[in-house]
Amino acid sequence: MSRGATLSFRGLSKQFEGGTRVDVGDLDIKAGSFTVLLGRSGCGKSTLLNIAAGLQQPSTGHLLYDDQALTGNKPDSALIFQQNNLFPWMSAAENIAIALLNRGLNREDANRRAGQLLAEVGLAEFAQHRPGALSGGMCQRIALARALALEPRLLLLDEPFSALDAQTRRLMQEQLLRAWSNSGATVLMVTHDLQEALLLADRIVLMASAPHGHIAQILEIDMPRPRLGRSEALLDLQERLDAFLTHETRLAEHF
Amino acid sequence: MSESILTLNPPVEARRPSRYLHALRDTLWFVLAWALLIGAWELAVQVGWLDGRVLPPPSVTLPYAFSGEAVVGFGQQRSGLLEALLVTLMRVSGGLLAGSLAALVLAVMITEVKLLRRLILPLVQTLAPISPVAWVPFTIAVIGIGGQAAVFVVFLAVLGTMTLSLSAALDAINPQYLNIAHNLRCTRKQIWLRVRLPAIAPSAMTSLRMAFFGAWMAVLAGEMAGINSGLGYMIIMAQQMYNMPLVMVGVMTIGAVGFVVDRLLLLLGRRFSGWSS
Repeated sequence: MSRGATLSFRGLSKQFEGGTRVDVGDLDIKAGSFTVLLGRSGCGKSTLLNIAAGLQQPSTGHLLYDDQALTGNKPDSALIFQQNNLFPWMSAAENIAIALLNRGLNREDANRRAGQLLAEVGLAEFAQHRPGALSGGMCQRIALARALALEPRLLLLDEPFSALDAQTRRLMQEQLLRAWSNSGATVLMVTHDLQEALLLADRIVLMASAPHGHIAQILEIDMPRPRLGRSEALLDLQERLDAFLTHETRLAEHF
Repeated sequence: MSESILTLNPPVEARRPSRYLHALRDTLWFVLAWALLIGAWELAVQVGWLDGRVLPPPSVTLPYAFSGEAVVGFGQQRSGLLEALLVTLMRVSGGLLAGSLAALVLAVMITEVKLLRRLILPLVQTLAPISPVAWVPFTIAVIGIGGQAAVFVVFLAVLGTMTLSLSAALDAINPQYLNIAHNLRCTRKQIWLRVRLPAIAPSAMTSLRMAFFGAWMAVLAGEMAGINSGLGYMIIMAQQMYNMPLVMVGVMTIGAVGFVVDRLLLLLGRRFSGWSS
């Protein structure tokens, strides 16, 4: 069995109280793949991710995790949100150590390992700083270090770099790609950033919001990394996706 | 070209007033404001605009406060200012502590158990707005007359509002922190001790300061009803003996000590919630 987990959505949909609905239907995510959920806000991409994380329950259908029914929070999935990943009342080191303690390390080992992980992301000197004293990019690096410390088989990312400036985002994307290829974990990432999706994904799951959230198209991107965004095929794909997202925006914003 | 971008000017050190200078300035304004009020008062009495027998001027009140003559009662019932203050402080801290702890227990129960939320919250919402003074007759009937009665009035004054504000703070925790905690495999106990309680610490400390104000008022109301010790008793006795300097000293003591305790709670709160600023 490979390091990464497989995910299979089977006839899955989620109905919300306000009447909004997300139809996922069938979707298979291969072990060790990098899948990006791309779409405008409101298309249900975060809902899909939350269901994969066990934070929300589907209304119909079910989700298989390594061909087993998913019940709640899977022990080997790690989650990173756009912000507020770190507890602001704990230091950077404590934020990592708490995850390690819960994996059965003793206090001493957890602290030492937390220090190592911080050093690996170049933030050793900030171990005793609280998140409030660190930049958004630093916090996301610590969150990524913590997620990797869990040795996850499934890494779930909900717009992890959306709140960062362009340069930090690019560096973080490179770091994520390295982490992904080193760990062999399956990555499922939500974004509304087209460039980011093209740069990272094996596969883009394009989601649309009208008349309700659903999967519009699945695109396989079989191109070598690093992708510098210059190739003919990539530019062509970018144009098509941009046209789709613009159309979506027109609908949603009543342009 | 790139070199010219990378050649940077050295930073220019700007002069900033230090933090201590700010604190000193605030203190000076504080002293000035009081000096102005005291001066105006003294002047008004000297000129004859105020009746010094009803509103004794600072030149009478201040020496009196520190003379050791600021006492009421005789023999065993004799009670000095400092003694009255200590008794009252003991009562208020006892009631505040007990009330806050009970409120925390209730708030935890409300958060954890849906049935308890539905049963307890309506009761607390109805009982919280009742003035502590309104509880005095009830307290005398149930507990009787004595020091415990004043503590109990404080307890009641604190319990309702503290329960409401603590459970509101617990409900307001960003759910993402709880999601993260679940994802990191935190146990229920860990979620309370390492996530929920630290998360509400800043607002809980603010609530405690507000509760102290309520408690400080409640304890005096409690002490004015048939208890023969404490600041509340001292003021009522002073009024009955028409000892206006003592009334004034009592009132000023209440204000000054209330202010000091509030500042201490503020400093304590900063220790617990340094992360939120």
